[in-house]
Amino acid sequence: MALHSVSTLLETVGDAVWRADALACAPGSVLASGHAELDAHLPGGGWPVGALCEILQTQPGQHEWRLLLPVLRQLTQVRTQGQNQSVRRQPARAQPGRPRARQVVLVGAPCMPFAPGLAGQGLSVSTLLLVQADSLAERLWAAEQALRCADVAALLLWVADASSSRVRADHLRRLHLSAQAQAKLLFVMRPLSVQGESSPAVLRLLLGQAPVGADAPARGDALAVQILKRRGPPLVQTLVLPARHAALATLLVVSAAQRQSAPVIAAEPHLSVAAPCRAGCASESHHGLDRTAAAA
Amino acid sequence: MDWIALQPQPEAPAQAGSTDATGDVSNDAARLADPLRALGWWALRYTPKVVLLADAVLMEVSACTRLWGGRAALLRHIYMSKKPVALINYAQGDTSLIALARLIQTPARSVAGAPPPDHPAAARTARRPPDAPDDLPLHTLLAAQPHLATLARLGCTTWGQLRALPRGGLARRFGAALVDALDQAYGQRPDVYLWLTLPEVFAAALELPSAVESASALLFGARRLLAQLQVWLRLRQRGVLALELAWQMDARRHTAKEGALVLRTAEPAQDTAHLQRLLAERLHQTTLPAPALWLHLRSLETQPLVGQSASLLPDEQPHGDSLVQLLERLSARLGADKVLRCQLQADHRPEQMQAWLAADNTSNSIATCAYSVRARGQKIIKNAVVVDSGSDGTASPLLPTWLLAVPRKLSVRQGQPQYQGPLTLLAGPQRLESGWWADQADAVTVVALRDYFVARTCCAVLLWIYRERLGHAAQQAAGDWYLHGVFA
Repeated sequence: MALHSVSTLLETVGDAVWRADALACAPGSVLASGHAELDAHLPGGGWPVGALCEILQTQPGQHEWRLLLPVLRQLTQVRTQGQNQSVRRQPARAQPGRPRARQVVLVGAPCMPFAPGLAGQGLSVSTLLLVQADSLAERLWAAEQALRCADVAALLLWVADASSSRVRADHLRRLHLSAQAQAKLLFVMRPLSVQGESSPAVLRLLLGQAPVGADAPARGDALAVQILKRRGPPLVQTLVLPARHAALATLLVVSAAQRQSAPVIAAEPHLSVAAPCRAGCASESHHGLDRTAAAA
Repeated sequence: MDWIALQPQPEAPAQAGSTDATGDVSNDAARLADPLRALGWWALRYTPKVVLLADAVLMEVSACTRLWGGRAALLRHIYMSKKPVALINYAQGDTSLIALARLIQTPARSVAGAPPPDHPAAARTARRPPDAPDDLPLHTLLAAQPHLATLARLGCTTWGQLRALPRGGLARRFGAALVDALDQAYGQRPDVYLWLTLPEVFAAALELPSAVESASALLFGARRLLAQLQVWLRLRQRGVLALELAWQMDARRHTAKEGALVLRTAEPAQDTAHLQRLLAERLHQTTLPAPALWLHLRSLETQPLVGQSASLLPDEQPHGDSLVQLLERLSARLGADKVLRCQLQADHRPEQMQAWLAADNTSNSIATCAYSVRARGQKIIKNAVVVDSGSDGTASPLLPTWLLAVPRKLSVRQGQPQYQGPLTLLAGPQRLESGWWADQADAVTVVALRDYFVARTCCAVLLWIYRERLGHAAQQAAGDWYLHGVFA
């Protein structure tokens, strides 16, 4: 009887409540992240639209493009028929037919984005809008203004860790609410030191470099993603995403092979040369995903 | 002849019920700078013969009554439709002076807040007072007002008594103007006025009630001028592209006597809220050297406003502001050079492959738009940079995703470049030799003779570094290492 009442309760409440051992169904719509391994562990199977996602890393500007480029590429490209497949659940108000809502606003980026490199990976750079603001108050103001704009699809905000102007949870909550009201993608890059603080973000990721071990030296270029917080059971293991562009990965592999056979720079023999890299490093780097989530 | 006199009621009491009649004109309680003139402009929609006289708007409607379906229907339309002024008094007469006299005589008789005269018979009884022109009190005749005391001692208190006096004596004692006004009031002289027109270019002035010390406090007065501008824009069916707010300052201070700021928008705007926000940002950055006494608002450039086609379905409506409004707001507060948009360029040097230009390219749209009306002295901006984002430059996935604006010199230890520890070279060299065609004057910054490498730090971050191949000038020796990009 108790089980029956719980299941009826779950049915009536809907997406707002989820079982602790299962991933929540995201209440809003969701955009596929472009990394299949990551999608499998995100509630709803992708980035939540209209919610705050926090990305923590040791230094700003180290890893975020690799993680976010697939979804930004998908947002900024001209919408076609095939685009509907990547959107799992689309509420009525975010219709894909609106052609203009595809601006990506970068607020407080650590340095200049290099547009040729981004365009080479498929991002439409004419949709990028770079807002340079020094103080935290200006960054938060610009972010909130951008979230209110109908033509903005995603907002990337970098907040520094200066002790004088520290971003507070109510700042983030305000951004989260305006992203929710306008159904925008919102990513906030924060330093690693705020890992222990509470945050209103629905998703917190910790980015790092996959450790270069003797067993898998080729994975030194893979992206290690640790999900600190999500709507679902905590995930103990680290996801490893082969997030480099295929052309760059191939270049690194080929160069490593060349250097192993014959060092190119003969003039500086003391320059250390990369460790040998086995071919096909991009395809063998997902063994960490075979484990299932450690349910409580 | 058939005249209607309208008068805006001064200081409309705070009636919640009257706001629906005014609509969004005064939704934020921004009063008009000149309500009488705004009402006169509005009255031009009924008849071209409108004149402002003694705090009242006089309309001659005999030629247009039939067009509006009779006088009762016209009056009903005037009262029911949305006006720039919420509450008005009205009166009616066969000549302009009779209408004006009836308006002055009974100012509180009829207001728009009262139930409109739906029934024609009721309207007729309400607005046609039984008193003939002869019975109108003498103080309602404007020309007689200087002589009221004398005339009262003569026993004249109404128009009829004044008219009964001999004309010659009246003209000799009080001047010909009184006799002429009397003739005009009785229809024996034509009502000739300089009719009101809606100006081509908006210009309005406002005397501030007190000297304003800070620039941001000017916004209060500017809001009233903006409300007036909105009335003008609506009647002209135009949107403003550029406007100038000027202020006159206290001349006793030995500083500048005038100041002005020009506000430009990319899209023709009729929405005062957006203009107000932009103006507030600009005024916050302005300092006044002396207290300001007068405000002037002038439209520099306007354009016909193209209406938006609304959708039947509510979900189709975009939520939020438009991108242009966002760009203008961000640029107004942070500065135009802080809100940037990228343009790819075809070049081999990485620092020349992209250009980040100001996104708020307001001047471009002004230079290219057609059918715009400029105020006198406004020139077309010709040297506007037109952003062309068509070419994709030299995009490649092998390039980094971040680029340092200035290459950062790396320290070298034992011949190995260092950045947070020793760097490991993974790929390269990619040789670059470009920019030799540039002037010798700035050759140091333009000529690029570099070998690019992909390097990995000890934290396994991929960097894009280069080594100067041939040192030119004294600043860069051959073999120096520089960090130029990050593969994030």
